[in-house]
Amino acid sequence: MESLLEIRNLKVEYHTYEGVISALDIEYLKLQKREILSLVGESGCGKSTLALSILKILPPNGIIKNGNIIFDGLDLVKMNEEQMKKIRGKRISIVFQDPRASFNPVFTIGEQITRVLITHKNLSKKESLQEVENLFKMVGLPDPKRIINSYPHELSTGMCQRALIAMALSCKPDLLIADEPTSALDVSIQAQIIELLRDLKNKIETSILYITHDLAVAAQLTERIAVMYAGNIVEIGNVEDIYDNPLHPYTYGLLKSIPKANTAKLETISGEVPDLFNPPSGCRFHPRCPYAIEVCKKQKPMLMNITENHSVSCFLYSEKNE
Amino acid sequence: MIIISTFRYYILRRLILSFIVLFGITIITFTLTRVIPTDPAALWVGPHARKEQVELARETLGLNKPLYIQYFIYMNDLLHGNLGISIRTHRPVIEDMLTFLPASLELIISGMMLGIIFGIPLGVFSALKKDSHIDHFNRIASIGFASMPSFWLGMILQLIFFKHLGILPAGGRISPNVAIFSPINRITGFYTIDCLLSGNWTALFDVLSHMLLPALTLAAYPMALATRMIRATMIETLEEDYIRTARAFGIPDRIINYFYALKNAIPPFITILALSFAYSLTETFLIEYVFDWPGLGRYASLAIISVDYPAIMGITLFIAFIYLFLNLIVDVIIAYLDPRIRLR
Amino acid sequence: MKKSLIKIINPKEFFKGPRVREFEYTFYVIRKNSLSMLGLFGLTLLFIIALIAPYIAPYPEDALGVTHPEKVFLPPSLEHPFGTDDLGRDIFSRVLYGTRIELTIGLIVIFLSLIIGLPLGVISGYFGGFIGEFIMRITDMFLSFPPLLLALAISVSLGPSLTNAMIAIAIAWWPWYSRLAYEQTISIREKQFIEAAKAAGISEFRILFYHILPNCLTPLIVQASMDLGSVILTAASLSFLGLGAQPPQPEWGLMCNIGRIYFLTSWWIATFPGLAIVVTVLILNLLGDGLRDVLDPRSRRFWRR
Repeated sequence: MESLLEIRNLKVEYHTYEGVISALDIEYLKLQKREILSLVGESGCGKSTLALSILKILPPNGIIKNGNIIFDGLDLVKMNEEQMKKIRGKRISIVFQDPRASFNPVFTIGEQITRVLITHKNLSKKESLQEVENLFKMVGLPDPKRIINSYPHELSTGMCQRALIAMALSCKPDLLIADEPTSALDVSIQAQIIELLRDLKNKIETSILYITHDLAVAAQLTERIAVMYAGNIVEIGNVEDIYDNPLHPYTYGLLKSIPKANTAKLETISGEVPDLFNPPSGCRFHPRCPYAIEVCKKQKPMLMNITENHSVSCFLYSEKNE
Repeated sequence: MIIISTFRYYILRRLILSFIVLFGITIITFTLTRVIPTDPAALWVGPHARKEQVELARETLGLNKPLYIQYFIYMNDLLHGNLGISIRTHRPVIEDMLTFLPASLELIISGMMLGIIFGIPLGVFSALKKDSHIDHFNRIASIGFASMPSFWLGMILQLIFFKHLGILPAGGRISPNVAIFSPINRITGFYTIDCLLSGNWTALFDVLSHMLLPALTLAAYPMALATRMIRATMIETLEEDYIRTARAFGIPDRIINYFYALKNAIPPFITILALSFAYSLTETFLIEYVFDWPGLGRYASLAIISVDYPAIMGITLFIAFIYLFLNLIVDVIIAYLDPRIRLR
Repeated sequence: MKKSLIKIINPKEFFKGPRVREFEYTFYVIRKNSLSMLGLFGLTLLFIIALIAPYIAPYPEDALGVTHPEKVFLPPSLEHPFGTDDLGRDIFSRVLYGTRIELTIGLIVIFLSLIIGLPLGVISGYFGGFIGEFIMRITDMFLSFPPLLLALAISVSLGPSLTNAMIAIAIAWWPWYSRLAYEQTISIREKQFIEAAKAAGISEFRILFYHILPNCLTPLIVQASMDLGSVILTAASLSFLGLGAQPPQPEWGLMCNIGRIYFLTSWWIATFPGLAIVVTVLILNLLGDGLRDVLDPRSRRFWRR
């Protein structure tokens, strides 16, 4: 299968009053067509930054220092604002965490979704309203007409999220980025949305980049998982590989810390999330890694293929490959 | 159980509150009229009166009755539109006020319009070009204009445009020769409208040139206010999540800035209108005084200088009522425009 | 020069506790906000001028009532930088002395308004019920007047004098603080730590004084700093109409009033005092703005006139 998205050597920084934050340092990440990839990591590890960087809607103090984001043959990093506008919402869309906050409170849901359709597909108002109704059916929203004329605060969070997903899929994008779409929802609604996404996955041709901090949710929904830590991708693999054979110490720690029914004591990963103003030298995980060796402090490990679909970036495996 | 919509409930509450406050205003102004250090009766009769005349005046004015009866008489007079007789002009205050009101309204409306029409685009522009040189310049300029006493600004404008450049008149509403040779038909009391309605172009030009400087002086604060409020609102709105989402969906910047973001600026716009109007109502005292503009403000200033209590209290009451009414309307409009309050 | 001044008063050198980061950040923001630095600098300058006016004014006696009939209407010159007025007094000296009056007015009025408004607002917000409603209705009644208007009306009733003007303005201004304190108290009293304090049995007085009051202060300080400029403008307006300062006080609004009569022939008599008002109020507004940015960046408070 062809690759849809390839990220190489992407370095993203935030320039703040207190200094420069080195938010992202990704060596390589690939997403195929019609694939669902989860990006898993703690809060602050750079997952959202990656999403914003792909769409190039970073805040004014966020800068892509270098790297390539190849989307279907086009390097997004090199594209200017005008060209990006043709891609956003049309070929790549995003669903954010807080659905209510993502809609403008003084306009109806219908107005906002039809605006997207009018912008990208040049439909008339009437045609887009019809299209919106179809979309709402697809995402399981009852009574589309009522919702079209509703304001965001009149809908429940779950319905807002469905509407947002509908908006994201309205122009049949090649890539859908879902940035923690269920984190703001109750567990029951969460389950519904995940069910919805699973359902859609079979019906549409869109690839999904699913960002979450919850490894369990990632496993339910996707085929492949990429684990992020402090702005780096540390491990990528199929769900089974990650669960049965976690290679990176951090992944191992994450898996261990998921409480099971008969857990007596909660396992944690010792230490704290690193200060990204002064990231640790070498491998960014080494201060917390129980298996750290000398070289981990000095050099940054490269991403290595252990099996065909399973890669890891850790010095523990470099001897085996040599 | 009766279920009324939030909006109607809100209006009802505001109306009742306003009513109570209305009474409070009358109590305050009444107290003020009775707190004055000099004897109102003596004031009424004048400085050369004999003791018996003062006593007579006191009886006629009802000043020897207990306070609550005086208040009752006061309220009764108010309800009949009787605000007393001006000590200075010896005419009923209400008559004086209505005579001079149109001139003031004309000035206030033109000043406000000038200020807001220039202030809002400046604010939007400043917000979009945040932290640029022009933004900093705008901010300092608007703080500067808001720091100027209106009487001083008026005088400076007179100095520049009348004394040194000689292109605009120093005061008054119309030149004497125009008033004689191209008199204005008094239809509405608004000279500009009257001139337009009767096609009196000479007078129109003259009237406008008289109005320009005082209107500019009045416009300074509303313009500064509008710039700042619109800028702050726009910047705050543009940082919201839904703007980021709109950008993420490739909505053109033009639509985001001027449609999505600006719609959130309508409530502040209404507030700007209200605050500007309130400012203008009282600041017009000073401006009309400086420019000799025959309006309510000059009437008030002259009343203050000649210690014309009935006139001063009448004007205070009148303006307080307008201000109260205005605030009520503004609150209702803002509540109506916010779908979060309206539809629940 | 500014930067080294800040280093001296930077508490980081003196305190080494967990509060250090907070102070650091606050001072950092103040420094970054150059407009407010300008305001701070300007205010210090104004204070210094007010303090040393008798020493830097070339003709200090002119500010206290002495007249020089032989020197009337002199235009600005080296000897009299701002010229002389209709009584031959040096305007420069009078403007310098006027700084004292203006600053005093501003501080006293704000102080009075806070003394009245803050307790009333906190009490009505905390206890609620009939007292709360009653106090708030009264506040609303006073709020329904534009401040300048009410100050004018009260001033007229009390009689023309600077003290009366200050009282009048304070009466017109306190409701704003009362309303602010009320809103703050309402939002704080619902917060968990108040419940916790009550559950721990702390007396109501202590709660009010140590917990609620300090948390109310921030928006009030912000508003007060923004109001300083407006208060001085109001006082000058009152004096301009003859209600505030009385001759021979060198108050700037009064000087403008005097200067108005001779304005077209002797423009300097009114221009310079007015300019002093503009500069002073500008400095105070900048400071108020800056303080607002530092303490309460999400608020949208404005100067009230």
